Amino acid sequence: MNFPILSSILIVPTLGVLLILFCKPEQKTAIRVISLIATGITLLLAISLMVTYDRKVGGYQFMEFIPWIPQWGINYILAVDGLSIPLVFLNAIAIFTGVLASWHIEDRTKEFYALLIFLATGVFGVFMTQDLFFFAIFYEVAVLPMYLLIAIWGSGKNREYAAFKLTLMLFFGSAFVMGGILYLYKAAGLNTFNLMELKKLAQYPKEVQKILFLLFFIGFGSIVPSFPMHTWSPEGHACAPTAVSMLHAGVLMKLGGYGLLRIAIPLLPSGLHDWALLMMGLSMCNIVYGAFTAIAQDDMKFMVGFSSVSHMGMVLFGISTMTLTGINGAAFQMFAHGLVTALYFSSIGVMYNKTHTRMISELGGIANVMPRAAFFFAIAGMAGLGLPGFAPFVAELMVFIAGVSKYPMYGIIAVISVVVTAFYIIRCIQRTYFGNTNPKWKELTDATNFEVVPLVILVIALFVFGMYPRLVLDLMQMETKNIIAKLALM
Amino acid sequence: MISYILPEILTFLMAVFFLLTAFKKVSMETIHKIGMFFSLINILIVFFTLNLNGNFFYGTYKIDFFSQSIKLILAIGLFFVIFMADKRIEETIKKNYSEFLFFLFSANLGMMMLSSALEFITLFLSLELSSYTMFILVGFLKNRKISAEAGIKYLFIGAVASAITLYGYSIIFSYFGDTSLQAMRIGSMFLVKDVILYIGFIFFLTAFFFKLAILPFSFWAPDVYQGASTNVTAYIATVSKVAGVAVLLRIFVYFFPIFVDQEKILILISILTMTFGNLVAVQQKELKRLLAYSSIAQAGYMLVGMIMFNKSGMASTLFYVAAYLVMNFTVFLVIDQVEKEKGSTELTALKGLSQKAPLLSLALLLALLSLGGVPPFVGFTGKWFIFSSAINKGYLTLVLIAFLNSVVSVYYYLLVARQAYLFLPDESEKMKVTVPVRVYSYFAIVFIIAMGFYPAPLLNWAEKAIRYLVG
Repeated sequence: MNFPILSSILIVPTLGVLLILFCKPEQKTAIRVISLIATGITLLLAISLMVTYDRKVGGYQFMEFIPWIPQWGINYILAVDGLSIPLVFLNAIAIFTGVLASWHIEDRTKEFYALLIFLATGVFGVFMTQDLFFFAIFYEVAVLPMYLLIAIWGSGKNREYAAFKLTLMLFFGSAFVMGGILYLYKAAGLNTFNLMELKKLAQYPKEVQKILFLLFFIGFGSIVPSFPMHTWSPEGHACAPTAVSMLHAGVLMKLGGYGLLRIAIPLLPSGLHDWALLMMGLSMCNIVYGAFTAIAQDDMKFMVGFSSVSHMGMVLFGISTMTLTGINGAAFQMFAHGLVTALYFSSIGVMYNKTHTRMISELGGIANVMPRAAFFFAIAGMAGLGLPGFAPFVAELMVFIAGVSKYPMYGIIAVISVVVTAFYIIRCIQRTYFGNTNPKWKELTDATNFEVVPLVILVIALFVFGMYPRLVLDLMQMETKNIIAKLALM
Repeated sequence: MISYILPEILTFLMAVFFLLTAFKKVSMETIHKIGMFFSLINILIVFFTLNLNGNFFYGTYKIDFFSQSIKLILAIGLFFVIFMADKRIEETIKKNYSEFLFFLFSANLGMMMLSSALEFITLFLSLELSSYTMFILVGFLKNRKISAEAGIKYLFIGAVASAITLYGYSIIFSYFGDTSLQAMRIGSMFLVKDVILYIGFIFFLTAFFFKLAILPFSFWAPDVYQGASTNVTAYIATVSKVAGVAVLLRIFVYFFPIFVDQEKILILISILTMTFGNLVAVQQKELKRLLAYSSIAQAGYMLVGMIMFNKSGMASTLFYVAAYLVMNFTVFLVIDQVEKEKGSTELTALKGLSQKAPLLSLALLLALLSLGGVPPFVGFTGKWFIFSSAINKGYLTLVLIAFLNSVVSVYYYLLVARQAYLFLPDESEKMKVTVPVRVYSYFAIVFIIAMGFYPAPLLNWAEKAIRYLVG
């Protein structure tokens, strides 16, 4: 048997968590170094996955199969394909930079890092497992630590409320996912939770697909987050500590889109046909409403949170077009948006550590005292508003092309929302970083070299994948082609 | 034959032993040590009888893998409960510790017999033996008003439930003319069914629904949980539920042709039970009351598995009950430790536990999340099995309601965990945690995670037991 690279991606962080748990709470540096090493190794493994994946052959690779509970059709299956590899990579980069970005945390460091890495392990599991039972387990592992992470280490008066809202709304969604998964299992009648086998053999009648797709749409839609289940997201982002916001907006929200592309659409193509219009309508709400609400925000994190709502709407919009370009764009948008928001939140975090406020109205002229922090936020902003040369541009372009050709009127509305995005981002940069320096901030020092490291990593990634998107797109396309083939059959 | 019913004989002798020592002045520590020793022996003996098979006393008493597995769980539960007590226990119990153990062992004896009884009179007598000793145990803290009140309440509701069961049985008897469950099992396959018989069987279930705290016989739970001393509460919440589930499983298996027609009613009862339990639990400010409502809700989930009337559903219920024993006991152990430290079982007593006793607090957190059905813990896996057997029969709505219910339960379990993790303690010194409690906490943490991720050993055991039960 070959080296079990996928299991290692799960085991290395788990070992890291165990080691951290055995440290004394006072050994803060040791805890940080352990976290960094564990996530560093994972990042290297994820990169090697991307490099060694055989692009000519395609399909599922690096498969590991261990019978787990045979009589219930549960197996431990790990395998990755073109759709999951970029997301595994995204998660690896987000947790690695997240660990770096939370170096300054002094309060209960041990618990913080243990929970943070535990959460990332869950996300890795979701992206790699091909068994629905394990999918369900990892899916909630990825949500669960959020409550404590936000409620204990978050900022703001409302953090407990935000933590509860986030956890409960996500669990509400996952209740539908769980029910949906169990019904998938039953309706196929194959007595297996093996997703690969289900994709090959299962035949679902049209009425069943209609019900099931709705369940998955509610479930995954609440984590995407689709309007009207989006309310947990801006609040959760705003109250979470930097690293958690990065992981949360960068990766966790992608679980929804990934679940749709991995489970719901390939298995229930006719279900998507039934609900595509609803999905499109809700995604328009996301795009337009998210963008306009972002204008009104004073808290920078709230602004980014609503812009995330708007940009994740693009993912749903892309999927609802049911065309190859649209779904490719949606998949790439997940990846690109992950990098951008991670950069947004880490650059805001660097500034917040010094100013202890994120209110646009209280800031001003920060670029004069903290040029580095300003520079990175500006880059994130430019990437976020879809400036060519960065990854989101490619993704949004693809979604718009597909959108305009499928739903001309709504597609144009979506395109116009880009203008709104440009407006609130440029206005925020102008009011926060430029203009006259507020005398309060005269004494601030700029970000240290060490603090800049995660930001540089993210910018490089954004730039590389923006200039050469085929690196990821080719991978994703291998899988999205299969999805389109299934959709076309209906 | 002696070797087959050795566990029962020994439990009886141990109970008598404690009754006799009550006349002597023996210190509580000594009795406690003897009690621990006896209950360990009990576990061992039951373990060695695990693979025996036989019918005794003219077919009224059955020994097989199912009954012995239940007895094993009961023995382990008894050990847990005795293990909880130490010298900081309430004064009344400390003074009368021998009697306390006498009643505890007698209750366990009743429950052991309950899991083997194959004949109605035997079944009823063992039920009453366990119930009456429990009534006394609940009211044991005679100086405390709420304890006495709880005892009386438990007695009255229990007596009414038993009476209804007897009435139901008398209706059933008029159809079969036999008290042997085996004979009734065969008879029920050929009988022409009518409404009166159905009513008889529904009435028949009452006493067992009372034991499990299933709606509408659950109203004793909050007061009794709050009034009894914490280790008795733990006993009621864990061990006595196991016995209840065991009997219900047997009844549902034996009379499945009759109950299968009433599936709709039973499903409605299970939905109402879990929804009621979960919704009311949200409002509770007292830990034991909160757990009472949560255990009502949990009984609802267990009922779902049992009324699927297939092997997978019953096996998953057994799996869940075994897991539930550990999860719930862990929670009660932590509550008991906190109560001994602070003298209060309010939610706020847990304040800052994560700083004062990190290990206990972690065990509590995992146990609570596991009860709430959050993966990767054993409670989730158990629920997953139960619900997947329900969905195999096509009850999508039931499963969705159950999953949404567990979302509600996550909320109030998090309200408890929140006290431990989000607040700083009032006093700075650490809590004293004894070595056995530490060992147990490690065990619970490992069990809850390992069985959640790799449930195969426990599940295989449960499936084997159910195969023997169905026979």
